[in-house]
Amino acid sequence: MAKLTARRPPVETDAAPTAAPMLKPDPRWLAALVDSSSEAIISKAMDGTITSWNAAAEKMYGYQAAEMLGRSIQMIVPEDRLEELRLVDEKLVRGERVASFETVRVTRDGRRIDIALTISPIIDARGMVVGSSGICHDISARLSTEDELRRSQRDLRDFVENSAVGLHWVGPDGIVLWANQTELDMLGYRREEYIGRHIADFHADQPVIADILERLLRTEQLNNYEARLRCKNGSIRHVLISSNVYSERGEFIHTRCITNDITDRKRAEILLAAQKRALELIASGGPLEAVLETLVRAFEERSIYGALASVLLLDDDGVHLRHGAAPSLPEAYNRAIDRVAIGPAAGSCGTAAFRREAVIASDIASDPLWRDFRELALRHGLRSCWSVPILARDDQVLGTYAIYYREPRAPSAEDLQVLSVLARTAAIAVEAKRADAALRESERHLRRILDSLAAMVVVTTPDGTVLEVNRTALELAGLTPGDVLGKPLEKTWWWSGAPERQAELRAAIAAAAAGAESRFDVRLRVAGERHMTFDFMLTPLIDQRGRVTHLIPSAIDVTARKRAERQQQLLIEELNHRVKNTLAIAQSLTNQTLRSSPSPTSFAAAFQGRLAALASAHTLLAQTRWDGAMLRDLIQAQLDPYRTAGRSNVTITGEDVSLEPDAALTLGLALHELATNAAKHGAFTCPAGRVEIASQIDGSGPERRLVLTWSEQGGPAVAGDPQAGFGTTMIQRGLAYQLGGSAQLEFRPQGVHCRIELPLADGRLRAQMSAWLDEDEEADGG
Amino acid sequence: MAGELQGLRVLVVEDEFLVAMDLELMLRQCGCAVVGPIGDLATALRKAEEGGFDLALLDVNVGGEPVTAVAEALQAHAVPIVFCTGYQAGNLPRRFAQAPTLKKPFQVGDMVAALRAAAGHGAA
Repeated sequence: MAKLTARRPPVETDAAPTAAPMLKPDPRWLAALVDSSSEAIISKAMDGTITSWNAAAEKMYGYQAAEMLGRSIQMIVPEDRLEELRLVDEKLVRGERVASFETVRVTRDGRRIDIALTISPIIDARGMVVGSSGICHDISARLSTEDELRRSQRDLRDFVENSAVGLHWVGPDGIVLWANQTELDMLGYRREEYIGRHIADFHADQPVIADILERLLRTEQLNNYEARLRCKNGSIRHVLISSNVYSERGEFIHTRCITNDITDRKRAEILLAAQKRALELIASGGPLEAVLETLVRAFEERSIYGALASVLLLDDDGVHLRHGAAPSLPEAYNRAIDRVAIGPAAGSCGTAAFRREAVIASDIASDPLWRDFRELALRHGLRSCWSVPILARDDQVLGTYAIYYREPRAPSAEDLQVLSVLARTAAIAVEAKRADAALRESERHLRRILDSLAAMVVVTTPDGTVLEVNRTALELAGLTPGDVLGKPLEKTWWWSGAPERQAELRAAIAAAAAGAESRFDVRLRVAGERHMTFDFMLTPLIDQRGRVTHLIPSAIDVTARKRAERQQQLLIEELNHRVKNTLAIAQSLTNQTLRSSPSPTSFAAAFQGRLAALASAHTLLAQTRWDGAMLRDLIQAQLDPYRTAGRSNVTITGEDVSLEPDAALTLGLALHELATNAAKHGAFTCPAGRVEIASQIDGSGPERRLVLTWSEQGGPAVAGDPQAGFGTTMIQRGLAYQLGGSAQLEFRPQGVHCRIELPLADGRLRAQMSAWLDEDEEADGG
Repeated sequence: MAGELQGLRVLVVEDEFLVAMDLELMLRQCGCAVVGPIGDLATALRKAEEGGFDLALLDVNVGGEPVTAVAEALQAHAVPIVFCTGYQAGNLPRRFAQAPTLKKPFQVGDMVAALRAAAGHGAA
């Protein structure tokens, strides 16, 4: 107030009252001057009686001079200003002038008005103070402007102090010069704890504040520079700093810093970013450890109190918790709690996994659930631990997500919410990894199955480019995956060198790409120039939307089946041939027998005997699957019907030998003819007669021969050569013709003597069989 | 009926002795002269080159081997051929497709028809 009055310009009339006693002005002139003054001028006696009241006073107070003269000045002084009036009067009595003070007066209508008053004593000629005159100036209008200014200053200060943003000034030396209340509240400091300290003391990241100061010294303007400030209670605030330098004439006076607290937004952002990163990692099949570490770091980064986060995973046994991710916890602590068993009182995590609910230990030192782990935790400086179970979609416990602090601390509702979000994300990661592992195992399983198949299996794109190939397919041709992967199937080794098969495959691929399956036999190149026959199938894989996504060419080696089919065909053919041949022989026997039979009875006997001889040779051959028949068996089969019980009318001596089927049949028939002849005309017609059959093997290798002699003795005397019939033809010509052998048939007086020689070289059937096999091999090879 | 075959010289190649005897018998009944029968390929081939017959009756398979070489030699000399076989399908080269084939066992009538067809074919 003093300042303001000091700056007031002097009132022009100010000097007049004091000058009055010295000048002797004309009283009329003086009265006119007073009356014409725009200032209210009032004079009073020392007792307070008003002695003059000018026009301006009339106007200011609403009282006429006539009304006021002789009245007390107290008429216009409010009660609360009477004391002030007394004090002023005391000064006046001492002859002092009271220069322009501000006070309040009351008007006729009761209005209080602010005035500025200058009062001078009126001194008489004797130097006595007889009264006072005052000049009043209505300052109501001026005062209301000042009020406004004050109010506006107050508002501005309030705005500055309590604005939503923190404000401070820092001197060129980094010392905080001033800070607003918001900033102090934000960080929890009292004004005196903040102002006068170096700004770096309040930053969590020294390089950041160093950079900020450096930029400001270069008078750079900072806009939303991100920083972390440390509060008095140790917590962290994320802020955006905008700052510039106030300077005068190029001199750095102080900075003007705006600090915007974005902690809540930042924490939300950290959480969101971590979740996003974690989900991206999960989606891209990143390692579970990386996902868990991201989720663990999320809580730590958003924490303002230095949280240490940990994920433990429940072992497949459902009992033990295994280390998942806890990069900030002491390594020794992580090792110590790895494989801890879950239970009703197994620290926060073991209990959370056991109870399947959040377990909060605000102070490990006193929490009963921590009894068994208390010492361990305290030794590593861990004082509180909040743990929530990580639950699968089917509510199975997968593990725990826990937060540790180095001091006792209870979670806020928001903390618990964030924990549950992170635990859910961890659940997604663990489940995805398990599904992935299951898928991989199933793929490996399928791969093993594919590789173990005897069939060749390939996977191609719809246009036939090879994507996958199983082991059988590669091993067939001695190929490596690199030889075929990425190639069009028809350009692979298996189809090489066979343009018509390539075209056939190309057509099948086009059909399969359109959804049609094909199946045909195809000869594929295997190792070297060898080819094998395959039952080839080309199947399109069609997705749920009906699109062909892949083709599955598969091929089963049917070479063996083809060979078996071929051999079976050959055997049927051969059997047919043999039956037809046998029937032709039977027909021949019929015709030949008919020619030499005088009567139907003799025909029947002779024909049946020959047919039986043929049949018994067949029986012997059938026993060895037409591999051959033993000579001894053949002789016995033909002669057994003629043996006489109790007598040895048949003697068989010499070496036994295996005969080819052809030889067995022909020799069988020849022996039959000899035996029937003996039974009709020779040794078997009388009790004394007997037949000796002797065999002998002569020579070796291709010259190996069987010499068989038939000699009859004791029979009736033979009278010369009989008429040549079927029997003699069969023996003399047949053996030579059919078997390349020879027979000397002599009708000696003592009985028939026959010497038969047969080559024992490889038989025709065997040669024939091997010829088929050769033919077959050739087919495989070509 | 068999008159046309009278005096026809027929080479018989057949490895089965009894069948050969039967063919011989049947051919004689028809008034044919039998050359052979021959039961092995080497002799048959020699005889085919020598000639001295009007027609050949060949077993398709002689001693386990096809009679093709003999047939080719005969064809080279324009000798009509009748094949006889116990196999279901004649596995003869196509160039012999026009030659009549007798399927064993066969009756005289079948043989006469085959010989007549072959002789007619050969004459034409």
